Amino acid sequence: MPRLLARLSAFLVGIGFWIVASAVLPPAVQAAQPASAVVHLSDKAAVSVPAGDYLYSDAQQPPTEGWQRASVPLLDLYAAPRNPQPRVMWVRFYLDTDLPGPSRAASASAVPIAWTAAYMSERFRFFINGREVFRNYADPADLPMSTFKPQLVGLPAALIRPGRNEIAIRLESAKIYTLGVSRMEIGPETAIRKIYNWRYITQFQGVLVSNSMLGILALFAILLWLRRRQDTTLGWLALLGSLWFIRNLRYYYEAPPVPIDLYWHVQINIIFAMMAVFYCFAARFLDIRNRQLWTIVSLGIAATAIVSQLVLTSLGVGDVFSHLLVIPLSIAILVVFGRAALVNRKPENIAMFTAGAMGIASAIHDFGLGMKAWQGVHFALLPYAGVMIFLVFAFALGRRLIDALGTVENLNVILEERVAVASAELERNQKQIRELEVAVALEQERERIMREMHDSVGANLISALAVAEHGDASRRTVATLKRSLTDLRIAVDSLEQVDGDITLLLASFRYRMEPELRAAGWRFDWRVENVPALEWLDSANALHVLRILQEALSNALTHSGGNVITFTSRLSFREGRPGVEIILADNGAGLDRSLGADVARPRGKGHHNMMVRAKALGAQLTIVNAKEDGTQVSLWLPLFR
Amino acid sequence: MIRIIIVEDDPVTLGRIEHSLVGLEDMTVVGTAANVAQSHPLIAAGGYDVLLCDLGLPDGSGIDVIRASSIANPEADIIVITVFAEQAKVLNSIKAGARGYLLKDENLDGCSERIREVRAGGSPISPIIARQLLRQLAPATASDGPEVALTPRETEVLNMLARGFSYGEIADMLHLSAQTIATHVKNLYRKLEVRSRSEAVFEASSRGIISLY
Repeated sequence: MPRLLARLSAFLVGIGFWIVASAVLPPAVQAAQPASAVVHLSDKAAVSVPAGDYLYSDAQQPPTEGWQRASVPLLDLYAAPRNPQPRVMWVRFYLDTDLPGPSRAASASAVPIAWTAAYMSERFRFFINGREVFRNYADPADLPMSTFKPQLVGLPAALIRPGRNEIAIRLESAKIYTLGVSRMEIGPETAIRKIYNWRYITQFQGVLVSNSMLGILALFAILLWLRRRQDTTLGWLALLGSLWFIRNLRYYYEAPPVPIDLYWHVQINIIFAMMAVFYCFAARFLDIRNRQLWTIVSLGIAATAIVSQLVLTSLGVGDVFSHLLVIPLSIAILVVFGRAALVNRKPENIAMFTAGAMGIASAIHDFGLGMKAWQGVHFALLPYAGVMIFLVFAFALGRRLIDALGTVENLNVILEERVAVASAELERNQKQIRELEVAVALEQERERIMREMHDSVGANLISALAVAEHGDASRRTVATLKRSLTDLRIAVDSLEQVDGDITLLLASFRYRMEPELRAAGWRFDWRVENVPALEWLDSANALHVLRILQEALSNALTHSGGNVITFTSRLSFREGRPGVEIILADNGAGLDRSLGADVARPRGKGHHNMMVRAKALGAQLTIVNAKEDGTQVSLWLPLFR
Repeated sequence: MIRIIIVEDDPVTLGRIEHSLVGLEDMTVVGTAANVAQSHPLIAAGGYDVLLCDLGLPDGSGIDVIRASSIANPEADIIVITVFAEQAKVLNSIKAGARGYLLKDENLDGCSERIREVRAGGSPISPIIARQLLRQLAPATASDGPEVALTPRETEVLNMLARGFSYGEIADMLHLSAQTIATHVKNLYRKLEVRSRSEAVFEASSRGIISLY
């Protein structure tokens, strides 16, 4: 797994570099011949200086002897003349202005010629054929920050001779490390300016923009951390951003604000500190186990590197060892962290690991670039890496924010739903309680009446009937008592709760009347269908219906002379209104046929009462002769009132 | 011989019932009680096939007498004596273990016939009681065994009873005998009793009154 991860990160970093390098490499640079210090001028393209001669001398004019050949970029880390003051290096090469081929006539004087370099030592002077044409300082005490800015010098046409021209550069540095030259190109000014502009953007302006962003983000992190002191991840990030920003501050000033040696010590060692702080931050960000241990290891490595750097440089030895010390350890830590990122495979973890790997790769790249070991993308990448880490952190922060907002919003939705459900439930409960209170009151009243009917009226009637039947009471008395009992039964039934179920009411009516009917030698022909409930059918209305049916039945039994009651109920529409039609038809003699159409006129008190009750119900009552024989009483009840 | 005990506080009603049973070859009244207290020794002694029981007794409810008999002598049939077949009381009696009812307001001369019907395995039912049975037995729960769950045929019969059809008419429509319908009804009463008893147990255990384990 670690090997896979190391390969993966190396691959990622390599791809990144390849893309950047292929995009930024100036297109017009011709391949140089390493051993020759002569540059053949081209009238179209810039030409790299492949090699040059150098010597250490504080002569004011280009020396004539003592030169040594070296390829460019040129850097002599271990040369003896480091300590003697002043530290001055001369570098020279030759410019051959004779253009090859037929364009020879259009010689160098026809196009402006310029020279550019990626980096220089602090102070330099530029000579053509022994004549100084440029220096980057006015006062010898000046220390221009030209170590990371590209340089451009126009070559005056008047000083350029046909054929071979000597170009000499006098380099001065107050720092204890290096004297040397970076890549240099010479050629037509338009081509040279392109290279210069590109370098100016990548080496300088881009860093300014990036570092300004970094400064704002670091400030944001600091302010955030001040409010959330317990968030150590944020604390380490704030520290990392601050260090990074401070290191990049050199891009903002022309001359160092502190003694140059101290300045360079800070510049070098702040990188070690940044590295350690980054590991401390990443260990927390990636939620690495044993992060305390990793904190101690990281800070220990950084401290070792810093101390060794200070010791080595004070001994006058190069500090390469310090840099080499941190590289393998950095890679080892990176592998451990990469593993953690793979275990907890969140996008922000992968992104942070990648950013960290690229940061370390940038540091290695810049180190090699500074050592002139390789060219890479020709400019320092580390100043940019900080922004990447912050952007990844911002991405992680954004994700957390979105998650948190989502949770909060969902929480609100859930709470609102719960409140709505609870409110509805409460409302329903209150409604049920109110209905229940009404129902209980009604039930209590009904029970009171029922009890009264049973215990006193009913019981007394039954006793009276028993006495009458077994005594010497007249048949009329017995009949009256029986009729009273039947009336009472009907009244009791009307009080039974049928919930608007008219079929059930009719069934109860049959159940109640059947013994009487059978005793009289009659029978029912029962033809009831299931019909919808009548919501308006309360006890009072039920009693009206039952009384109408009772009267109709009584009339049939008493007057018709038949022996079958056909009892029908069905759904029926009248004038478009739905309703339930109840028909009681007997097979008796029927009404007086001589009355013809006038059969519906009031006939006696019983009939009148039926009509009044029907009117109270909003029902339609008709009493007619059946087509064949007998009487038909039809009661139509509306479904809705 | 059907041995009968009667619990009735009204001497007139008691007299009418006794009168109607006198001289029958297949029935004999083996004991009477005028209140709940008097009924206890009768029930405890057993030796009866049918209990006729009034509900409104001076010292308590006939429901308690019915329940006591149902537990002590499950083989005996219990018939409630009531006025106008007041539905709620009848339903509670069935839940306590009653299988039929006599109406005081009707001619009690026919009560011997009612007793024979119930003894033969059939029970009377009013449409309102039929609907109550539909309501209380139909919502079968997962824990319901076959002894309380309504069968489709029972549901059909109850629906027809609630619409007012007589046993004979239902039997004709379903091509069964009227006696079968009456037996169905008696079974339904037993189911209601079992259901209400298990509900009572559930209620009691959930209140912590009795332990099921």
